[in-house]
Amino acid sequence: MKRRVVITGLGAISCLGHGVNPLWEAAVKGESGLKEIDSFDYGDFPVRLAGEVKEFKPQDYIKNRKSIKVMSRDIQLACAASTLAFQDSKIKEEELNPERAGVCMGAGLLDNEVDEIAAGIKSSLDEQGIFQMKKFGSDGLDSLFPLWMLKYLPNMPACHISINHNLQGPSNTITTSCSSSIQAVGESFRIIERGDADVMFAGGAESRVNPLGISRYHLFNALLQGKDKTKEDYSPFDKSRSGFIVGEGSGVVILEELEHAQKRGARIYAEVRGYGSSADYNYFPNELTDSDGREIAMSTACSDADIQPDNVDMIHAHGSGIDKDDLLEARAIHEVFQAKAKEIPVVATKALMGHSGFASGAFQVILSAKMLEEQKILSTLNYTTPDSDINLNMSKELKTGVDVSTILSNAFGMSGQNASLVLTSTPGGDK
Amino acid sequence: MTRRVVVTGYGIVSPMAHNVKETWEGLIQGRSAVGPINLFDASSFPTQIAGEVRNFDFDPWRKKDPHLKYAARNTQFAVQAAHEAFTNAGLDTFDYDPKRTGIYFAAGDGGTNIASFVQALSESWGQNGQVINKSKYLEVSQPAFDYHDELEIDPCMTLAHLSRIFRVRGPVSNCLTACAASSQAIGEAFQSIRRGNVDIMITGGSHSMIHPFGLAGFNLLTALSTQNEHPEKASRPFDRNRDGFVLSEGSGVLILEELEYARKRGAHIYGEVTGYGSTADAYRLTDTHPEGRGAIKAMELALQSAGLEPKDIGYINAHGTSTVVNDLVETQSIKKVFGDQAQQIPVSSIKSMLGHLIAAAGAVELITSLLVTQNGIIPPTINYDEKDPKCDLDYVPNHSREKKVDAVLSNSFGFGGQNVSLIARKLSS
Repeated sequence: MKRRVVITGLGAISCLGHGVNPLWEAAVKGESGLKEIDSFDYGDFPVRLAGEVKEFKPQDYIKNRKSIKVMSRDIQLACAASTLAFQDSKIKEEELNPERAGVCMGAGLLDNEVDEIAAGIKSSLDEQGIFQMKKFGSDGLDSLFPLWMLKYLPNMPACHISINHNLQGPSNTITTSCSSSIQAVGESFRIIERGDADVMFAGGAESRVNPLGISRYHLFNALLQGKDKTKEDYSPFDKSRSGFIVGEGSGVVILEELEHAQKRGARIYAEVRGYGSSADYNYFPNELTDSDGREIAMSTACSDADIQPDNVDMIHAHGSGIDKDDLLEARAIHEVFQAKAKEIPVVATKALMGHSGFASGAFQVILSAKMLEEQKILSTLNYTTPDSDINLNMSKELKTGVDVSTILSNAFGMSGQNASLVLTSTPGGDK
Repeated sequence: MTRRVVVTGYGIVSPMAHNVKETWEGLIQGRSAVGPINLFDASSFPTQIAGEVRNFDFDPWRKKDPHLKYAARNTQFAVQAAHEAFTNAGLDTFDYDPKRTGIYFAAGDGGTNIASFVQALSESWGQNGQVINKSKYLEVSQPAFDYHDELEIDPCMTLAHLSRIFRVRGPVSNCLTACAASSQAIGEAFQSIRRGNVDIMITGGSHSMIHPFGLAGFNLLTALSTQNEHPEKASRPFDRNRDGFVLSEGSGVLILEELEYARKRGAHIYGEVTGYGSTADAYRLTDTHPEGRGAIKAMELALQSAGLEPKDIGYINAHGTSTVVNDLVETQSIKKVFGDQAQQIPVSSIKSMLGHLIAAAGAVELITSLLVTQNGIIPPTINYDEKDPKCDLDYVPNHSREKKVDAVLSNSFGFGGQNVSLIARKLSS
């Protein structure tokens, strides 16, 4: 008898606010949280909009204050979202066997705080102002924080979460760029399904709204550019799409084995029913040609869930807003859904909070779970002009009271990692 | 009926050699592969030694595949090791189904492009208490960095290259759980085949942290040995005078296959993966749990999933980093799990010879463990000169030993309290 896995807690920190409620309310109203960057001066740089988390105090969520110093912002956001998810699950201490509870987070390269690392470089300059490795090995090291490395190791979001919540079961960190947190949810689903844990914290966190992060995304030509651009110009699947606006934040969900959840009378948002991942052979983010990996991820997720593509009520698209990325996703949807591709509602939600990299898939899972619970289909913000090459039934306005019981949610990584999840509503758990 | 998972190929790029055969020969001869750092000027760092992969020529790959032109060092190692594994498994001449073939890898990141980074910072020093002028940095960083080099340092890139080169269309993932990463990848790959999603998995890890920021970070944590005078003596797991680990680099790759699938295509079977345990200490960020809570549980879970008793294990390939705390806690944990048996089981750490390959360590160690079962020889823990009264197991000191071994346990523990144990054994009928 297959163990079933349900979502029983949601936690999010995004530019739309602290918690899932402000995120969901803004999503329902169709209000974006993207604004001009105010955490640093971007000068004349052609990128000036982002989804920044405002008024964030890590000590509100993290009991061990000393540990905060050893956390990059990404990790702090991850800890906050995981605490919120855990609170939302209402799991009592006595209901949680620490050895049967684990964590799996999406992460990757975490950006250094530029002033912190620059201080190390600055103290390594010779009299002519030229960097000398010999000075870095001595003076440079002296000027850096002893635990500097631990602030930025990719596995640290998961490690801190395991410590904060005493999760002694499996701990994993997935680093497949923008698909990482959907994969983290998928991998956690597998872990519970096969019986290695009853409860998993799963999600991702990213904070690249900083000089290093913006610079890097811009170098990849992935960002919406132009000083005159407004947040309305971030328009996934629209004919005018031309890159993304970056967001930051963290999303974490609590996954639980169905009977474990039922026994304690948990609120069940949705069931994770299927997971698929695959690679494609694209190399440069701007030279995408191969849509087969996306197609395989979606069709595998459906077969894993034991459903036909026809049973899917709605697609929660990756929809990064990068021209070719959206085009390839559309092409793959047409391949998988054939004639139904033009009918099935497609929603892209990144224009709400910005493309948040390692966290973006987790935000999607959270919004999908809410759509299933409240029987709503969100709108795709800023979608106004159809592109005949896309040719999908983009959801243009909020639909309420609809019958939406099966959602396919996609996330595609920078260099060809593709992941899809099938989430379903669980009426009485009889599916 | 549980699907069984076997190993049909492996490949290694290590500081010892660029293939499995010569790496194994070096290990059973008890040779150290540690030497002075040549990749950059480390002469003023507290640690000036490492296990570098030397004379590694990637040009033939670049000529053959233009996509590899900018591949980062860890990706280069992975491509070579995966090629050896793939060929070794005979998959280069076999018509496998790409959709039933996946990758679960543990590649690290490629390391910051320091020259570019320093250039960008040097052109954007700030004023009035700000170290860096942020708007200036944004401007000058664009010409300072190379698009390709930046793309290639992402930890997802190794996976991207491997997927393309080996025509993989099944499930793909990359995990990065510090020093436990490639053991975890192997464990998860094993689970994927067991579950039935795939028939073949390419798994393992690759890493190179021998760059200025990697060395700086570990030195700041005081995790590394500073025995610079005698590099070959620096890594001394379980020895009383151990003072930290030696950073090294490389890649280990295994081909896992479902047993019947492998038999049907007539593949040579090197052994079977039968147990996997993954736990977290959930204790403190910088300290291992003093009683080895997570390590004990990982070993117990691995035994349990393999359906084995402690007495069935003929050899333990230790994590054995040569840090004071790891080796002590690992010893205590082994004693806790194996009880009276603990003294009878040979335990060795090949990190004494190779150094610590970080994310790639577990894969090279599992391959070595499989070689132990095939050859009936256990590689030693070298540099074991003085007994630590608190570490009192049989560490196979200094010389390899002949012993028939059926089942092996391989441990990998990582920063932040990540623990993974794997069990592999000879194929039983």
